[in-house]
Amino acid sequence: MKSTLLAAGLLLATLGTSQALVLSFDSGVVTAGTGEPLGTTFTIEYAVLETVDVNGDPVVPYWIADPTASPLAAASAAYINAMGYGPATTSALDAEAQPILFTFASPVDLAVFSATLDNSGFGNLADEFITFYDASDTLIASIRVSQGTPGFVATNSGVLTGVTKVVLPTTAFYDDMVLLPVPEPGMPMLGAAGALGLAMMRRRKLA
Amino acid sequence: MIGMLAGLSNSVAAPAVTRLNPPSALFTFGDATPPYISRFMVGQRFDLQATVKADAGKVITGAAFTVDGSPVTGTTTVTSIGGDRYNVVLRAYSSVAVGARTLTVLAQQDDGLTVAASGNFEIVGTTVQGRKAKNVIYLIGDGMSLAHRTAARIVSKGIAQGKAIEPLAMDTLPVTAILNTPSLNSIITDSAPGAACYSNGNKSNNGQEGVFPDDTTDKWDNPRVEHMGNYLARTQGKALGIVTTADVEDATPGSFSAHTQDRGAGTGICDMYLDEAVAKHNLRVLLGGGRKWFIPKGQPGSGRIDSLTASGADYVVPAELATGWGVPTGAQDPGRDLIADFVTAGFVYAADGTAMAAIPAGTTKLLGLFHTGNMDVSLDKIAERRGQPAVGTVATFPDQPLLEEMTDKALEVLNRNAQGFVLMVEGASIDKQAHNMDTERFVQDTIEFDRSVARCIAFQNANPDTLIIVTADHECAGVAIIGSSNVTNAQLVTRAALGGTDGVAGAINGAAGVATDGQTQLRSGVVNTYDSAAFPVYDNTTSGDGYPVTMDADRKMLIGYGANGDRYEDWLQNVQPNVNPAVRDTAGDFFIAGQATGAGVQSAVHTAADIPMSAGGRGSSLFGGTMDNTSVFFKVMQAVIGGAK
Repeated sequence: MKSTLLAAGLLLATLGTSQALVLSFDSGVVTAGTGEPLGTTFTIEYAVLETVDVNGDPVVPYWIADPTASPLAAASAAYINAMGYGPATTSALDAEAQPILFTFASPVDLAVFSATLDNSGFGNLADEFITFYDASDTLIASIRVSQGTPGFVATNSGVLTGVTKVVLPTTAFYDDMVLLPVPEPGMPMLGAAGALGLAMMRRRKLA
Repeated sequence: MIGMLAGLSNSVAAPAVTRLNPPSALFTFGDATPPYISRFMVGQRFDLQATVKADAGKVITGAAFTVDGSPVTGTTTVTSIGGDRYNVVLRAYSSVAVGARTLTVLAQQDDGLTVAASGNFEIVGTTVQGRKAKNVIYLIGDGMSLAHRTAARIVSKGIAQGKAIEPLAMDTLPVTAILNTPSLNSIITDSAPGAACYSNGNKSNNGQEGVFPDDTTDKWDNPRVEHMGNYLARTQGKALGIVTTADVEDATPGSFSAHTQDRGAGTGICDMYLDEAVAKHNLRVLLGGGRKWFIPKGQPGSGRIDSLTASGADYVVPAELATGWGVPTGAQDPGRDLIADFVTAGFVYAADGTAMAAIPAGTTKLLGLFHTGNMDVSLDKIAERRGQPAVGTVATFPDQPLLEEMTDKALEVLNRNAQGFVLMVEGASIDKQAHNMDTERFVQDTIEFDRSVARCIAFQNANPDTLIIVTADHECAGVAIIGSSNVTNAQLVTRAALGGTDGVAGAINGAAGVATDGQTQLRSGVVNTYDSAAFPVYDNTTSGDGYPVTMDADRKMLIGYGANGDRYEDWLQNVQPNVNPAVRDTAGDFFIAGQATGAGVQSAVHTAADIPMSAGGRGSSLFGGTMDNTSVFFKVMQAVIGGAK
C-alpha cells in the first residue's frame, strides 16, 4: 500500500489502482479536504438538525453545520482516556458531545465508508446509525453503529450513490475513517474484502 | 415453562394474577392503547413482577415472563408471601426495542392449572439532533407552584405600576411548561413519586421511591426502576449530586437514588447512598441535613434504627435482587458509622458551612451534613447571620449554609467530572413551611431557592452545555395571594394583640358586634383586595445580604391557603418556626377553619394543581406545552443522549 500524507492526519491510501481517503486524525484535526481522491472538496463540522426556516416556521428537518459550535476538535489520546472512552494511544475525532457532519461540494459515490469507534462501552444502549443524505437531504443509507462494543468498526455493505452529507452520531470518538470512492469507469474497483481490510488494518490503533 | 402456553386454551385457570408490574392500563382495565402508564428508556433496567393468587391449598410452582411472546431471559423467582399469594419477579430487565411491548406472565399451580395475564409498557428511544447536554441541573422547589413564585417575586424583586421591577432568576429561563403531577395511586402526589418521576420516568404510589408497588410488606424488595444517575453513570460516566435543605433521606433527595416503598426509611436510604449510589450512580456530592442517620446508634444525635420494618428502618434486600442488580444485600447495622464509611470511600466531610467552604482544592467527593434533621429555613438562618436572636434549632446548628452556598459548592465539585453530571437541588422548606402555613418562611425559602437558580444560571453561562430545569414535585397548600394589608406593621401588631379581647377564643363569629373581635380586626379590617391591594413594598437592599430586611413590611402581601388546615391567622411573621398553626397566633382570635386537626391532617396539604416548569440552556428547546411529569425525564434523556438544537 502506498500512502501519501496530504495534511495533518489526512492520508491517501492506494490499494491497487483505487485510492481511498483515510482520516487518522493522528496529527490533529481535519476540517476540510481538496479534490483527491473523492473528486470533490469536503468539509467536516459539528452538526445540528435544522427544524425551522428563516421565519421560525417548522420545516422537514435537515442537517446543517452548527453555526454556534466550537471548532471541530481532534481529541488527544490523553483526553480520550480522561473522558473514560479509552484505552487510546492516538488521537481521534471528537464526537462525544455533538454529531459530526461531512459535507461534499458535489455528490460522491462511495464504495467504502468505514469508521472505527473508541474502545469504551459508553454510548447509547440502542444502535445508532451513521446516516447518508443526497443533495436534497433525503436519507439514502444508514450504517449501524454499536457504541457499546469497544472498537466497533462501522462499514457500509453496498455502494453509496450520490452522497452529499454524512452524519456521525454523537457519544463516541471516531478514528481511522476510510472513504473509498467508486472508481471512474475503466478503473478496477477495490473489492469489499480489500476495503474492509484497509479499515481493519488500522483498527485498534486507538488501543 | 413457555410450553405451558400450548395448554392454556384447554385449561380452566383458577389461579389469578392480581398484580402485574410494570403497571399498565392493559392489565388493569384491558386497555392496550396509549398513554402507556410505564415507559422506559432503551436499555433502562426495571423489574418484572407479578402477584399470583393460588387456589386454596395449592402452590404456585413456577412462572415465566414473555415480552411480545418471546421468553425473557434471566432468573424468575417465585416466593410465597403469605396466605394464597405468591410474588413472581425477574430483576433488571431491559429492552432496546423502541415502541410498545406486551408483557405476559405465565404461572403454574401444583395441580397443573395455569394462569396468564398481560400488560404493556413502552420503550422510548432518542434521536441524534445536535449538541448534547453535558450537565443536567434539576432545581426542585418542593411544593412550589405559580403563587409561590409570584409571592417570591413580589417580595424580593418588587412590583410597581403593574410590572415586576425585576424578574426572578427562574423567570429569566426562556422555556416554560406546565406539568401534571398525579401519582400512580392518587390525584394528590406526595414528594416521593412527585420527584422520582424526574429521576426514572415512571409513576409510583405515594411514599415510594424508584419502585413499583407490590404486595409484600418488605420495604426493600419492590420491583425497581433504574434511576437516571445509574443509567447515565454506566452509559456516559456522569456523576450525581444531591443537594437539599431537608434531611438528605427526605422524599425528594431520596427519590434520586433510593429504591424503597417507604420514603421514611432513613437508615436504609442513607446506607443506600453509599452502598449503591456511590458505586452505581457515581454519587459525588451529598449535601443537606439528616446527620442522625449517619451517626452510630448509641451516640448523641443518632437516629439510626435497629429494625428493617420500623419507621426509619435499615435495609436488607433479597439475595435475588442483589444478584439481579449487582448491588450489596445491605445489613441491619445500627452501629454503623456512615460518615466514617463515606470518608473511607474518599469523601471529604463537612459538618458546617465553614468546613464546606474550606474543603481542599480539587475535592471530587463531598459529603456535607449540617443538621441532624431538616435544616433550618433561610429566614432563621439569615436572622442569625444578622445577629438577631436564634430561633428554631439555629442555636444548636449556628453555621448552616444557605442553599445557594451549597449549590455553588456542589457545582464546583461536580464540574471536576469530565463527563458531566446530574445535580438535583431542592428547596425543601418551601413545602414544609407552606404545609405549616408559615407565609414568611415559605416565601423567603422560595427566595433562597431562586438565588440558587441564579447561581446555576451563572454556571450555565460559563458552561453552555448545561441544561437547567426549575420546577416542583407538586403544589403545596393551595397558596393564593389574596391581597395586601391595609395597615402598617405597627398597626397590625396592635390589632393582633386586641383581637382576642372579646374573650371568645376560636369562635369564628364570637360576640357579634364587639368592635375588638378578631374577625373585625384581622379579616375585614386588614385584607385589601382588588384595587386597594395596590403594590406591597419590601426593602431588599438595606440588608446587604440579598434578602428582605423584614417580611413584616408595612401593608404587606397577604397569603391565603386553599388547602389549609385549621389555623389562627394574624398575618405577622411567626417568632418561632414549626409551631402548630392551630395553637399559634391565638391572641388575634382570627380562626380559619380548614382540614380538621387530630385526624392525621394538622396542616395544609398538597393539591392536584398543575405546576410550572422553567428550563434554560442546552436542550431546553425540547420542553414546552403541557405534559405529564414523567415526560420531563424522557426529554432530559433526549437532551443528554441525542442532543438538541
